[in-house]
Amino acid sequence: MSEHLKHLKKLSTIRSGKNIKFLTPAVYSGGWCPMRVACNIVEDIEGVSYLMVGMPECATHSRGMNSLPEGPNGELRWLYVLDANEVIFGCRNGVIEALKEMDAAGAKAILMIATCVTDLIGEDFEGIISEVQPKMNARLSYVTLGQFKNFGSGIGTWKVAEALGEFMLPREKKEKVANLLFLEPWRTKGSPLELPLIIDALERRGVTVRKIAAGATLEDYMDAPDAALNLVTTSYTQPLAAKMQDRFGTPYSPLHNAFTVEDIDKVYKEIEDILGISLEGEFDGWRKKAVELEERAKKELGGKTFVMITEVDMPVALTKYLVGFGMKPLLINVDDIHNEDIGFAKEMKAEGIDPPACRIMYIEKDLEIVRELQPDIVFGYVDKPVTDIKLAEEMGDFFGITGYERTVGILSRIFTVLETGKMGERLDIYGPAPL
Amino acid sequence: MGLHRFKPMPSGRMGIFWTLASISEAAVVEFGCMGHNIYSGGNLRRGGIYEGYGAPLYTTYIDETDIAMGDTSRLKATIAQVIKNDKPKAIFLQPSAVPEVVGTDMYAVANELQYDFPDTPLIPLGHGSFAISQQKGVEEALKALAKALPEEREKTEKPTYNIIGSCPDLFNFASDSLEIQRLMKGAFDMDIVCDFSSKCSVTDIRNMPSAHINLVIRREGIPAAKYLQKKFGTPYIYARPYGIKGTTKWLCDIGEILGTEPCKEFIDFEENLWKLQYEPGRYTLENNQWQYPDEAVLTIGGHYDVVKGILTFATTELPISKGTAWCNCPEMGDEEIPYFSEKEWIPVVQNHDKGYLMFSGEALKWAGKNTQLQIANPDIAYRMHPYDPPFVGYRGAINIVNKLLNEYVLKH
Repeated sequence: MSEHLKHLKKLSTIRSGKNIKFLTPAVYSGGWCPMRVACNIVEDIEGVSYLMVGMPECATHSRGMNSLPEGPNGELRWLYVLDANEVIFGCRNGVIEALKEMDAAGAKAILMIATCVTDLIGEDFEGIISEVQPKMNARLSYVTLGQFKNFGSGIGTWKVAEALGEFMLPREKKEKVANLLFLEPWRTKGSPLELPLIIDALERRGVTVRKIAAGATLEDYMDAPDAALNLVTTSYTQPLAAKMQDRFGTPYSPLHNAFTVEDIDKVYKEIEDILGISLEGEFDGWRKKAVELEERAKKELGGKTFVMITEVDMPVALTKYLVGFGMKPLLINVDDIHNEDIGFAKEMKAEGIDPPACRIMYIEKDLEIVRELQPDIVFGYVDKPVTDIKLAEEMGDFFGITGYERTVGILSRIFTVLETGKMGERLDIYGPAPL
Repeated sequence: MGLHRFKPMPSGRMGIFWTLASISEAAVVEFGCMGHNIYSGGNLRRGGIYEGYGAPLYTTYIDETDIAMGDTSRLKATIAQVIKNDKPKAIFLQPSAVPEVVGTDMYAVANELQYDFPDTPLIPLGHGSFAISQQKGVEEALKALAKALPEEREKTEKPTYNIIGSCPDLFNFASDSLEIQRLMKGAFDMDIVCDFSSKCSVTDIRNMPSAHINLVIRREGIPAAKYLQKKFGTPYIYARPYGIKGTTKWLCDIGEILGTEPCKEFIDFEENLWKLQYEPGRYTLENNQWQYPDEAVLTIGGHYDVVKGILTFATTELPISKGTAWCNCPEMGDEEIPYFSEKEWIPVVQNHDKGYLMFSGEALKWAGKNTQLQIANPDIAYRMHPYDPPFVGYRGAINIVNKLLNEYVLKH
């Protein structure tokens, strides 16, 4: 093993984000704060207000350059800043007064977003909600995002998804309603939502697909438990789906983890059964291409080595998929470990595959170590053009996309990069299957 | 600090960070949670401190175990990596909020680590506690650097000067600094040694004692200037030059300290140019005051020294009277220009309908007012270049008048 990787833990031994080491120690110039992600997500939900609770740094950076204290539909985006006394003795009373003020100002639902210092001093937000909820019209929820135990944007996203789930109310189930569960940490407001093809297919079969995604409303969240099925398209919303299954008995389809044609077939069959529809013939073109590419992968990808750097969605699940073709992971960048990942890592270890896992925090310098590993292909994002490594970049193209079309996209990109050293054209999943 | 609708007064740590970030040949290492560096770095880049301009910004991260055990080993590993990456001439160490809460003693840690890295000065900053403002943080950073870096130097043969207090946290800092440098060149043919700290290097700070005078352009720079006066005998002047008469007086005061007179031709040229440029607008402003005296009023909020300077220019050199004026730092407020919290300035801004309103971009935008009259941060726009017109100096005077006239035109 390379000298530079000796301090890293093997993927199978990682049980929480705490055990994932930086590839090199100096972080340049810092990682994303989960609090900022939380504010960004909530700002895209009509009718949901937030109260950010933290230090002046948090308050300043919770907002983009053009963010204002009120949203387009009267949502409040207010900030509670701890003073020197509250840092020691807690901010309970101040936060309660702030919530009352927001309630009086007309907030319909308030998500409290707590940051590092409140997490450190152990402020009891659940206790605050218990005390004031009965006296308020606004519905309350909270998420604690101290960065020292919530690394990066992914964890911020799934915890926020769970916290927003607290706004959901028991509803009578409707047979032909499904929820799409998809949240993006860094969505540019107003940009089009890219959805997998299954959504359109379901809608054409009379299924109402409620998008619990950017642009959703408070009412969408409140009504979500009426769905017969949740469609999970990212690991960030899988914990919310699991919680909804417990609370409301809503089953979920883990589309996000289905990379192989076999797994996709299986998950589509479940969807057909639960919603009482048939998807026969719907994806024939894409499925045929995916089968073809998987056959080719079995022949050509065996023994190829790879590294995953930053901005690859679900790196552990994707690694497991590629290992299935005999590819060998040399190093995996993992921002955070999900429960599902632990299972995937275990399965890979049983097959003798257990790569070191790390967090890459200074790509320019860390790339020097990646180069030394001499991988056949590298997946992820580099901020400057590189010509000396075969880089499958823009893996974010597949974020939120599932099904045969994602499999076709990923495998096509791998073959193109291996053959030409370049990424090639980006896949248009909304066009015809590239037969 | 409590509930805020707008961005609150930044912390002392933020003031320190913004003061350090623009210094080249150095590196900033923040010990603690991440986020501050990456977002502040982004803001600085939007403000013209582009990648490679100042210090590279690093952070260590900190996790639960580090906090529980008081472990600072990440700092040592990070410093070693930073030295390998950048070979900086100094490393500024700063704790983030969490190490502040648990009481990490950055001074002790820096002293200890200095033995491991004897060739790179490690300069700890940023205690600041939770009770101090951004402005106090700027003051602490300027003073700490003035104590740590300047070295004994012969005064330059041809007289030179330093600017103390031009820092990226001040709105329009880069253009104002360039105007001051233009004035010093035109009036005294003097060059700058160190633009402390918005555009300088570690070497420039080390060379500060070679200058003949320190120009302190905000009160946060006074302790640093006093220290440099005591240690190296460099005199200083504290003032921001606003207006025509104000700028000429400022130049004459500098001349008095230097024992020389500012160039008369330069001052005459600038004053005559002002008269010619101002003439087409003079009647409009005077007529406005005569016809609608309640509209010839300046309401203004921001940094104390900026507010004071612009207000003095407006009320003594222009036909404008003083409206509500406030500053954004509790430690600076006085009877003339009190400190206003958000709760106090919101109604002033919201209800403002007559006269001129100068304040932060954030508040002006929110209230639907003329954002061209922004004189304070939080900002709402990119400021990638330093070539906007200044507010200080002769050029600043005509710029301010131009903005006020345009506000008049908008309203009428």
